[in-house]
Amino acid sequence: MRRRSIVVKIDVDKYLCKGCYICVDKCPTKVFEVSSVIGDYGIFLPEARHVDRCVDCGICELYCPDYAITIIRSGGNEA
Amino acid sequence: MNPLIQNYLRSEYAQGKRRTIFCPGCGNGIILGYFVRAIDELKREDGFDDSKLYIVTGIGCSGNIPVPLKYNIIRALHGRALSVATGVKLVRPDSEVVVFAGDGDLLSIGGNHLIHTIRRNVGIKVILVNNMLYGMTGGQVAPTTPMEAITHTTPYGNPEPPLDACKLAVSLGATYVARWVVPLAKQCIQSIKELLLHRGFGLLECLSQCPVYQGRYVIGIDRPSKIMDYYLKITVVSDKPSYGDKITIGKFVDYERPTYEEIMWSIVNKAREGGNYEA
Amino acid sequence: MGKYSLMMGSEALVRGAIYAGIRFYAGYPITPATEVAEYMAQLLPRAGGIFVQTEDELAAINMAIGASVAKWKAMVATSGPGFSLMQEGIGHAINTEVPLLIVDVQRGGPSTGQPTMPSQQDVFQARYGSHGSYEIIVLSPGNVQELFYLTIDAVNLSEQYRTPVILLTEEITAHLWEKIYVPGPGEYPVLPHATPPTRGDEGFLLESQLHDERGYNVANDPELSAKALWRLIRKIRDNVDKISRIEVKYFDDEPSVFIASYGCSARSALAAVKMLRQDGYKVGFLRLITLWPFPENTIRNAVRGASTVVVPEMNSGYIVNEFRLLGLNVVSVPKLGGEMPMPEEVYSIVKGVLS
Ligand SMILES: Cc1ncc(C[n+]2csc(CCOP(=O)(O)OP(=O)(O)O)c2C)c(N)n1
Ligand code: SF4
Ligand code: SF4
Ligand code: SF4
Ligand SMILES: [Mg+2]
Repeated sequence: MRRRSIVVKIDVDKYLCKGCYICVDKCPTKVFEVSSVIGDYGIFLPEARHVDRCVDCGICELYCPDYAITIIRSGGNEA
Repeated sequence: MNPLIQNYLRSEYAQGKRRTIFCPGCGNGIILGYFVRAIDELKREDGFDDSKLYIVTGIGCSGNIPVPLKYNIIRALHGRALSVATGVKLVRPDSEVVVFAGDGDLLSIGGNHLIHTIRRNVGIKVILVNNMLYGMTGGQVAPTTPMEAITHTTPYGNPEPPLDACKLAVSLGATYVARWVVPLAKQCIQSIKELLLHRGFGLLECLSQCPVYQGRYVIGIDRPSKIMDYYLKITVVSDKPSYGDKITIGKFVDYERPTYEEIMWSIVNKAREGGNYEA
Repeated sequence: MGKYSLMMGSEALVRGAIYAGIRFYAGYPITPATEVAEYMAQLLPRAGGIFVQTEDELAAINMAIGASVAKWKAMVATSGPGFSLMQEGIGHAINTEVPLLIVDVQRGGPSTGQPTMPSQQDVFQARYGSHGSYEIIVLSPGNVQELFYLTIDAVNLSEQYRTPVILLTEEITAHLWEKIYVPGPGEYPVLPHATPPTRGDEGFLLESQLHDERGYNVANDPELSAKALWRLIRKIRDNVDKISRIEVKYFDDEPSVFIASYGCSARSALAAVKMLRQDGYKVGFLRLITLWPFPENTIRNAVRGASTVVVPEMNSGYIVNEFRLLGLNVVSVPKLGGEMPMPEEVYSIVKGVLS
């Protein structure tokens, strides 16, 4: 059971991200966009530009093959 | 770094000094995440004791899935993971033995061991990562590659029909057999949990994307998310295994019969009743 | 207190293994190693151990590796074709530092060869059979009593150096019946079993590629890879004088000729030395108990002053090369076909050398 919490930030680890863009493509509300910031693997990092649209489905975290994504919530995490 | 996963990583991985070896968008990394989440949920729901885990891997990209984890890990030779795992399970029947192996590893070079491990019903839990070819060696045909597909060793098309690992396992008497596909996260995690709690031999085949070889050559799509979509298109849920133009996914069998380690230990105990060995 | 008992070589081997703490056996039937499996199937469960007849030799050695890693001292026994199938596994156990006993009861010929006949044709395969650079310990028992003790020694060495050890015997010795002394419990030293170390809540990582001490893969780093491999090689190479043993007889009068041999062939060699001495020829006797690592220094010392070493062996002339490499003048007495080199044969060859 989840308590009501609001996603305040979605962190992308620039050292771990390999730029596969599964997060960009699979987010149901298109929270991510490809930025012009280059990560450690020499790829343009995805950036969670529209966190306000996030419905906290967790898909980006689940699908990220490189455990680079962390959804940061306010009002306590999962109960 | 995702803190949930980080919790389960071996020190150099947790400290960020080492990263997985997989190509961008590879399904192997996703399966690693599913495995960790399955264990994490089991620990919280059932008090699953993960200190009893022994993980044995084959050789191939998929054999690298558990390497970053802080469990006891044995990297077996190519094709021999089930043999090593059987040795572990026999001498430590209370341990939880998990095998990660690729389709080439488990079904081609290790095929004989698969047959006999299932026949014996050794209580080993196998996660078969089927990317439809040999990833590690650079995209050659595997026993799971669809007929006519182009790979680096079938430049004019694959002349051989593929093998359905699940059908084989069911026919040999495997007591848990399921096939899922990487985009179905919930089902994959649920199935890993069932596998870990199962008594006896269990097989979870996970269809997984290899964007750089399978994506590019076998199916002609190289964007990882699009291969995931493609997988959803070619699979259909069923209670019977089938591996053709449509690949059936789902749980195919789930029952129990006496395990090899149980039978073996009852033999040992009976033999000892007849008088202990003396030099 | 131990006791005396008449038994076949294979049974002595099995009893030695159980004495040494072996509790897991995996194997696939093959002549002439089948008796080892059959005695094991009988005796091991009564000692609380597990016997498995596997689907093939590949499964056998890999199961044994799993059992050794997880808990118990483990072994396999095979011959010729099965020994070939196990080679990859031997290298794997070396690289992952898994203690293991591997028995090869040698039969003759390449391929299916001569299933029921003895040979010593695997002495180089035992040393070099797996791919890659490595060192390995190989012991060669000369009689049934020694089969018992060397089996224990082999297991002890594998634990001490955390590496597979090969016991290389022959059809003749494994099928020979002799009276032996079986020591009582605690009479002969037995080392505890070494499993891979874990750190705190972090389990071990047994990596089959080259790795550092904690198991992390270093295969793409030339410097660290070289370091990893040298460590495995040096732990054997730097301890040759501790590991390797020979037996020397009839050396007091500084003979100019030695007959050097090993395993069953050494029995003929010894008989020939005795015959020659009876006829007034000063001939020394040297027997390799450890074939590999080859005990260079010990041998050099033992045969100091001798001009020639005659080496009878049941192959086309293998170990003789090692003596040649020591700068010694050698005479090879190779024997193929499955018969032992006869004392008379060796006798007349040595006589020819002396005259
Ligand atoms: C005895 C042996 N033969 C061949 C190889 C080379 N090899 C390494 S991985 C592999 C195939 C891997 O394919 P798969 O098992 O499907 O794993 P994937 O990389 O696709 O995950 C091969 C042939 C080997 N390591 N050992
Ligand atoms: S899914 Fe992960 S690795 Fe892929 S682009 Fe997004 S953050 Fe990077
Ligand atoms: S949690 Fe769901 S909605 Fe929010 S960013 Fe991730 S994928 Fe998009
Ligand atoms: S080659 Fe294929 S299977 Fe291997 S890591 Fe790359 S994408 Fe994954
Ligand atoms: Mg594959």
